Amino acid sequence: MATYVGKSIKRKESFDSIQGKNTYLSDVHVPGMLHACIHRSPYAHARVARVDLSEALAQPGVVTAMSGEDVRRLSRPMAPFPFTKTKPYTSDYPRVRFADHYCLAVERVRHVGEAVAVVVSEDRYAAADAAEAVRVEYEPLPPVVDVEAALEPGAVRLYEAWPDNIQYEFRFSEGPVEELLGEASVVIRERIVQHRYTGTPLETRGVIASVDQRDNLLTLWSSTQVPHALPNLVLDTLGRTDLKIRVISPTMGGGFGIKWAFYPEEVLMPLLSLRLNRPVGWWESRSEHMVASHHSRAQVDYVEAGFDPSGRITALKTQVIVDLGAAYPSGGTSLAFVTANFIPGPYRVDNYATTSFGVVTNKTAAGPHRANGKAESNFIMERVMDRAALELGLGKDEIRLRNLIQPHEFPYTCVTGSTYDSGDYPACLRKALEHVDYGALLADRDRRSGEGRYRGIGLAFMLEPLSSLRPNAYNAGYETVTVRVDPVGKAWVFSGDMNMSMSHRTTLSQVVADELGVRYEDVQVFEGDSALCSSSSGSYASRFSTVTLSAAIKASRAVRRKVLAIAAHALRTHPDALECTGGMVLSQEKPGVALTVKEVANIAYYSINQLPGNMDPGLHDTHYFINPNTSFEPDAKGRTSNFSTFPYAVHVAYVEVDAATGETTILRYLGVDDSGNMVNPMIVDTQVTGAISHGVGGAFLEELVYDDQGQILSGNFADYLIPSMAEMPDLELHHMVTPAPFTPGGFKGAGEIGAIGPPVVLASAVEDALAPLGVKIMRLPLKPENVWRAIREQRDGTTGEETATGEET
Amino acid sequence: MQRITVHTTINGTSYSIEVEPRLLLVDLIRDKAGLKGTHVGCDTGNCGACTILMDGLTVKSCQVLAPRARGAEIRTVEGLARNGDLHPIQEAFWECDGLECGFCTPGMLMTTVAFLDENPHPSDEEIRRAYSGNLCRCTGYLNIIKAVKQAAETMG
Repeated sequence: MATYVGKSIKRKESFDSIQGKNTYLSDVHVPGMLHACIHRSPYAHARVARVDLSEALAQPGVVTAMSGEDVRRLSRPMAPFPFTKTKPYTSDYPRVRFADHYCLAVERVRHVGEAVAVVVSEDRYAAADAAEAVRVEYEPLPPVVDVEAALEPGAVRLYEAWPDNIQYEFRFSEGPVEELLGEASVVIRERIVQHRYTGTPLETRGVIASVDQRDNLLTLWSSTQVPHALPNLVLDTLGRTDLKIRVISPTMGGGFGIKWAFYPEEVLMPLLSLRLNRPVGWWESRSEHMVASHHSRAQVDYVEAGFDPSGRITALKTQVIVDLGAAYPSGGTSLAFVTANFIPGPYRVDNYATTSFGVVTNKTAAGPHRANGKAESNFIMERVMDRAALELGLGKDEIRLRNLIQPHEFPYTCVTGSTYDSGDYPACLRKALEHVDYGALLADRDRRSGEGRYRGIGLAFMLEPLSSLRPNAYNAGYETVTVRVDPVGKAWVFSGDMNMSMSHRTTLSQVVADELGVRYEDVQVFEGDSALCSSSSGSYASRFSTVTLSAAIKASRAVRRKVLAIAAHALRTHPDALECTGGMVLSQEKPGVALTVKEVANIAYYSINQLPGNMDPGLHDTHYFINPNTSFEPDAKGRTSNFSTFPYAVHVAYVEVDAATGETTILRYLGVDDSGNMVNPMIVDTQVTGAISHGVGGAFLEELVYDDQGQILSGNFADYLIPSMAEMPDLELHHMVTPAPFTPGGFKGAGEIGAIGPPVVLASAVEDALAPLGVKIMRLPLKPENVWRAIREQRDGTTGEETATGEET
Repeated sequence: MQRITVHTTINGTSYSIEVEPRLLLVDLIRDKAGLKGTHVGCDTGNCGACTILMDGLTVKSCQVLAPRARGAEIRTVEGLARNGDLHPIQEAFWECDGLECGFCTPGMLMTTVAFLDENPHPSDEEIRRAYSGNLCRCTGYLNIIKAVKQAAETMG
C-alpha cells in the first residue's frame, strides 16, 4: 500500500537550499588547496608553434605551470567516453572514430576556448593574472565552421589521421523507400536547420584533486553527472595503475546533460596535484563555460516524406548532419544516432531510410543536452506533419490521428528496432484538443487574425525514448542501489545515480519508505560518491525513475522479506501473516502483536542466535537493475534496442506574431503528457515546467552564434540569453498515466519531454500565424530577427540579408 | 599589491577584513567571511545568483568591489532564518516548490525580501518584471511566482 508514492510531498532537498547550506563544488573546502587558471585558445583552428610559460611562472604566488608538451609527457590522450574501448564494435554496428586529445592542446587547437596551458597559484586572482602572462605563438589555420561545407570533398580536415571530417556514421534502410516516394500522392521535401544551444546550468563546472600519498589515493571532486565513470577514465588517461581513485560529485547546481562527459580538467587537476603533492582546484567562469562545456542540438537535416491520398505516411527518407564540434570525449555521437533512429517518432512508419553523420567542425564539442537527439528528431517529423497537413488539406490534429500508433499495438517495435512500451497516443492528442477547446481556439484565431494581425496555433506530438544504454560503454544499461536498515531501524539508501536537481533524495525516500514499510523521515539517501556503490552509469536520459527507482524497489523488497522472516521467527508465525508499515511489523492475525523494525534490526545485528536457521546477520541488499525492454545484439535487420521507456506528450500553443518586428507573443501554452506512474506529482510538474522553460529558451532566445572565422559571438549571459521570469508563459499542464509495463513501479521518467515541446510547437504556431504570408518555418531559433527575415524573404523575394546591411529599410 | 581594510557588517556580525582593492564583494562574503550561501553564476550581473542586500537594497555582489561595502549593513541568505525558524519567504519557496537545484535560490530569496518590502501586494505582472534579473534554470519560474505571492500573503 502506497503511503508516500504518488503524493506531492515537499522536497527534502529544499531545506538546505533555502538556507544557503548546500555544498556545491565551489563551496568544497580542501585545506591547503591551490588554484588553477587555464589559458584558452583565442583561435578556432591554429597550429601551436610555441608556448612560453616563463613570464607566468615569474608572477607572484605562482607554483607551477604546464603546457600541452608537459601533459603529453605525463599522460595519455583522453580515454574515450562514453565507450570504454576505441574499437568496441562488430562490423554491423555503426562506425565511430576517436581523436587523440590530451587535456591540454598539443600542437594544434581546434576550437575557441580549447585549453592550451595552465598555471597554479596560491591565490585565485593571482592565478588569473598569471594565465594572462602565458605567451603562445599561434599560426592560424583555415577554420571549418559550416557543417555542410565540412562534408565536401577537399574540405580542410580537423584530424590529419582521418580521411574526412566524419566522426560518426549511421545508415539504416527498411523497405522500398525510393519506390514508394515515387508513387506517393504527396511528397514533402525539406531542408531543416536546427541551431546550436545548450544546457547552461546556473552552476558552471569545477574540479578539485587531492592526493593522499600514504594510501596512493586520489580524491577528485567534480561537478559531474558520472562520478562512477570517472575513476576508470581518469586513471586510463593518467596511465597509472598504482593509484586508487575516489570521485565525489557534491550538490549539483544543475546539469542538464552538460555534465555528462569526460572533461580535460578532470585529468588536468589530478596531474597538477600529483606534481605538487597538494590539492589543486579550478572552477569555470561563465565565459569559460560557454566555450569549454559542451554545446548541443546543431544539425542540418534533409527529409523526404511520402503520403497517400488519405494522409497516411508511406515512406520516409532522411539525412541527418550533426555539427559535433571538436572530437573531445563528450558523448556527442549519440546525437546523430538518436536523431536518426527516432525521426519516425510516434507514427506508424514501415518504410524508412536514413543516413546520419556526426561531423567535426572547429567549434566547442557537442554532447547531450536535455532531450538529447529527441528534441531534434521530433522537430523534423512534426515540421513534416504540418507541411503534409497543409498539402493534403487536413487539420494538424487529423493528419496526426491518421498516423499515430494505436493503443492495441503496444509493445510496438518501431522500424528502427526499439520497442515502444505502452501508451494511448490518440487519447493523449484528443485530451489536449479537449482541454484547449481546439475548435473554439481555431475560431478565435480566425476571428482575431487579419488586418495586419497574425495569430496562429501550433500543435505537436512528441515521443521521448528514455533510459538508454550502449554496449561496451559507461552507460552500460543497469543501475545499482544498496538499501540497508541499520541497527536502530533507520533505512540508508546508497544510489549510484547523481542528483542534478531532480529531487532524488525525496523520491528515493518515498519509494523506499513504502517498499520497506518505514517512515519517510527515517530514510537517508546518499549519492554522488564513487565509494558508495560499485558502479553506476550516472545521471542521463531521465533514467532515474526507470532504473534507479526500480533497483531501489527490488533492494527494498529483499530487505523487507528478511525483516518479515526474522519477525515471523521471533513471533512464531509465518511471514505472510505479517505486515510492515510505518516502522512496525504487525500481525495481521493477532491485533496488538507487533515488533518495531528497530527490534527486528536488533535481532539481525546483535541477537543472531535468534535468526531463522542459516540466515546471515544484517539487513541489507544491493540490487543491480538491468534496463528492461532493450537488447544489445543487433537483430536480423542489424537493429539494436537501446531505450527502456517511451513517454510522450502533446503540446498546443497559441501565439500572435508581430509581422513588423518578427516578435512572437505566447497567448496560451498547454501540455498533456504521459510519463507513467508519478512518484511525486508536484516534482513532475516542476520538472515539466522547467523543461518547457529550456524549450522556450531554445525556441526564442538561446543561440551559440559563431562567425565565419569560428569565433563565438555569444560567450556570456549578456549575449547568450536564457529565459527570465518575464519570458516564461503561463502553462496549462495535464497528465495521463499509462504505467510502464517493464518497470516494477510503472515509472517512465519525466525530466525531458517538456524540453522537446516549445521549439516544435512554437514553430508550428508561428508558421500557422504567418500562413497568410506564405511563410514556412524550417529553421530555428524563432528569434524576432529570423522571423522578420523569413517574412521579408517570402514577401519581397529578398533574402533579408540585404535589408539588414542597410541597403533598404 | 596595496591592501585596504574593509569594516562591514554581515547579518549583524561586524567584520574587519584586509583585502586587495580589486576583490569582488561576493568573494569577500564567500571566501573571507566564509558565507558560501551566496553563489556566482555568470560573472556579468545577468543571473542574480549573487544577489545580496546592502543597506536594504539588492546588489549583485559579483559587480561590486569589496571596498564599496565599507560601513555597510549586508544581509545574505544566512541571515534570513532566526534561531532556527525559517523566514516566511523561505517557507513559501519550500511549500510552493520554488526551487530545484537551489543554486539561484539565495539570490531569489534576497530579491524577494527587498521586493516585498517595497511592494507588499504585487501582481503577477509586477513580479515577472521585478525578477527579470534573477535567472533560474530549473523551475521555469511559475512556482517562484506562486512562492512570492504566498510569502506576500503570509507577511501581510
